[in-house]
Amino acid sequence: MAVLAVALTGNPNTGKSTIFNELTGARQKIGNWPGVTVDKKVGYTNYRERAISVVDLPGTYSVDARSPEEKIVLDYLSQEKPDIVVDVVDASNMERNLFLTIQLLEKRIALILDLNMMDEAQKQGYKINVKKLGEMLGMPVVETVGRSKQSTKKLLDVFTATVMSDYKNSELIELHISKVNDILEKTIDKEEAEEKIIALRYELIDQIISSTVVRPTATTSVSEKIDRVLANSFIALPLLLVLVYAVFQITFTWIGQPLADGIDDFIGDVLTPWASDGLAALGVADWLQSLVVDGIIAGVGSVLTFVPLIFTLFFCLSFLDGTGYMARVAFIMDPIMRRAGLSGKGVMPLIMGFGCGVPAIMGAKALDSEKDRMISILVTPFLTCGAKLPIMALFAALFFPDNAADVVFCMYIVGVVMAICMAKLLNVTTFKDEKATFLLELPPYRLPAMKNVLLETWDKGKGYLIKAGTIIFAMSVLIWVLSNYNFAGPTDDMGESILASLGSAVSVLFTFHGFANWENGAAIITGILAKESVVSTIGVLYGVTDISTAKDAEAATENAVKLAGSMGGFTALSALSFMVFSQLYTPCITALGTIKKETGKWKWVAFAAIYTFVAAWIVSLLVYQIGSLLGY
Amino acid sequence: MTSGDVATYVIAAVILVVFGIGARKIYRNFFRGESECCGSDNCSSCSSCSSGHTKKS
Repeated sequence: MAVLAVALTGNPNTGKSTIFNELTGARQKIGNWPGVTVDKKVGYTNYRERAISVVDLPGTYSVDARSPEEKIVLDYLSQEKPDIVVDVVDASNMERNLFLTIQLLEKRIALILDLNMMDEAQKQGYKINVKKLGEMLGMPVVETVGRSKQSTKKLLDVFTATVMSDYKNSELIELHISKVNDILEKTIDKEEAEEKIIALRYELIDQIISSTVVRPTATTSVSEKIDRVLANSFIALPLLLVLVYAVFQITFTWIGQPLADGIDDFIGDVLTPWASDGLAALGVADWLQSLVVDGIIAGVGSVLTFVPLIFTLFFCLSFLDGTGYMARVAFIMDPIMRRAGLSGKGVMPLIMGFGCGVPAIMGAKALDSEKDRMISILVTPFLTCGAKLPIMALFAALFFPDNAADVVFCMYIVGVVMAICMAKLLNVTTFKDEKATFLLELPPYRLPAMKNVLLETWDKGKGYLIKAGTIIFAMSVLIWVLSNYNFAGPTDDMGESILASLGSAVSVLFTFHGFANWENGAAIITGILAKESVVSTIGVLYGVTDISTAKDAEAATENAVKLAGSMGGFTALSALSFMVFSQLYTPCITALGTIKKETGKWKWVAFAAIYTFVAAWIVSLLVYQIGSLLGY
Repeated sequence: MTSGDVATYVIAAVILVVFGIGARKIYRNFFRGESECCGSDNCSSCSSCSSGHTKKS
């Protein structure tokens, strides 16, 4: 018997992927739809001696073919003609979900309607006459609860028992289709025709809902009451800033910093002497002792010190995300984004950029217009990702010990402001297009499950650990080699090394920035490979890892003096200028690779690398020069 | 060959292997757009779904 081809379609957030995972288990393949970077998920299962293939189509609100996802869904359904098409619908949100259903029926695509999340709908008080719904739409209707074996079996029973050709559109749907065709024939203006058809669809949806769904008594939900405060147009933005500030206080003052001090003490007082004494006792060659202690431990150790800060910050962001508040951030930022020429939906991928720029760049594919996608990709590098946090934390702790959390908070704001300004600039210069509409689903507020928050924190943070053990390790070895050797062989004077030559060449660019020495030039070069490398380079070249302040002011001062002591060394102002530059300049090599993957063109990689460098150069120059004029 | 020499070679070999892993990661990150944060199937922040909120299906 031929393989039964099943396609899952539906709005985002309807549990489609959960159903796909339950149906196919581990037997999945993930690739790309041709020509676009949208995931293609295909899975397989067997049921009652029937082989079944399941395609999880991208979630879409409609099939108007404006975005790559909509085009994929429409093309797949009309060209591949799968045996079964399942429209997965959120049973508690049918008004929005049925829009896609009606569109698919207009295109005469036979469907099975899957009313998913029935448990949630029943909890909210919805009562649905499933039989009448099926009669009005002219299709089989199945009730499911996402992650439930019973639901999976129910679906598989329907797949193997249903012959779609037995089903025809109901009279109600045929009448609707003839009205739509009438409008298309008689209305000349395309936009006017589209508006009339949309109105017609919602009339039909209202008719179906009023006949088949008994809604719960309308009361203001807890979420709506909370949104009256948190999403209020006057106080939402100040509240957001207060909340973010609180996150920074938790990270840099209350929890993350004390833990970071502990790790720093362990590396400095335990690990380093142990390694040094141990290697000497083994009789290991002097150069290898230096590589391990002054290179690897200094380099990797300086990055690992910030692990508690990273995980604390990610925990706070994951917790906020789990409560549903992050969706409100997109809503709050929408007016500001529109002034910058982006739709509010553009905030969603940018929010991911505070963890890591890579998913933020990949997340841009969800934006509807090419212009929005490109602008989102190109401004993401300005945000303070987790990898830049150690740079901010190190310099803030050393040069602004009484206000470290405030300074880092300001750096985050600098990144956001720069992203918005550059979005505006790109909108009026490089990319000119009409604005897209913004449809956002606000999930209800909820207390997130701590297990999920911890898992997500680990998910986001473990990449940092993996990077420390691989890329930063390799960078530390490379920096040690380049700083201890020149073309004639080993050298005792780092200032004569290969790295010094490279760093000096770059540092010329920063003559008027206050940090024009080869060590800083070298840190800037290595920061392009991985942002954390700036810290590991400083750790190797200056021997600075201790960022404790309140605990040991003397040691902190000693380290600040070390940094300040080099030729062209740091002052508080030049440290601030360096922080701003590090915040804004060329994204890391992974982000550049992702830009190439998402845009498909090397020219955008080169553009992103150069324009961010130039922007960072200008802004950090202004910070230093204006600060100098003001007497700092 | 002294024990110090043996220790030197062993430790140097380990460092070289880890260095190679790191260098390969840098290459793959750039030329294939791979990222550490996308290492697991549970990495919701790296899925191709539309936003940080549609990941919760």
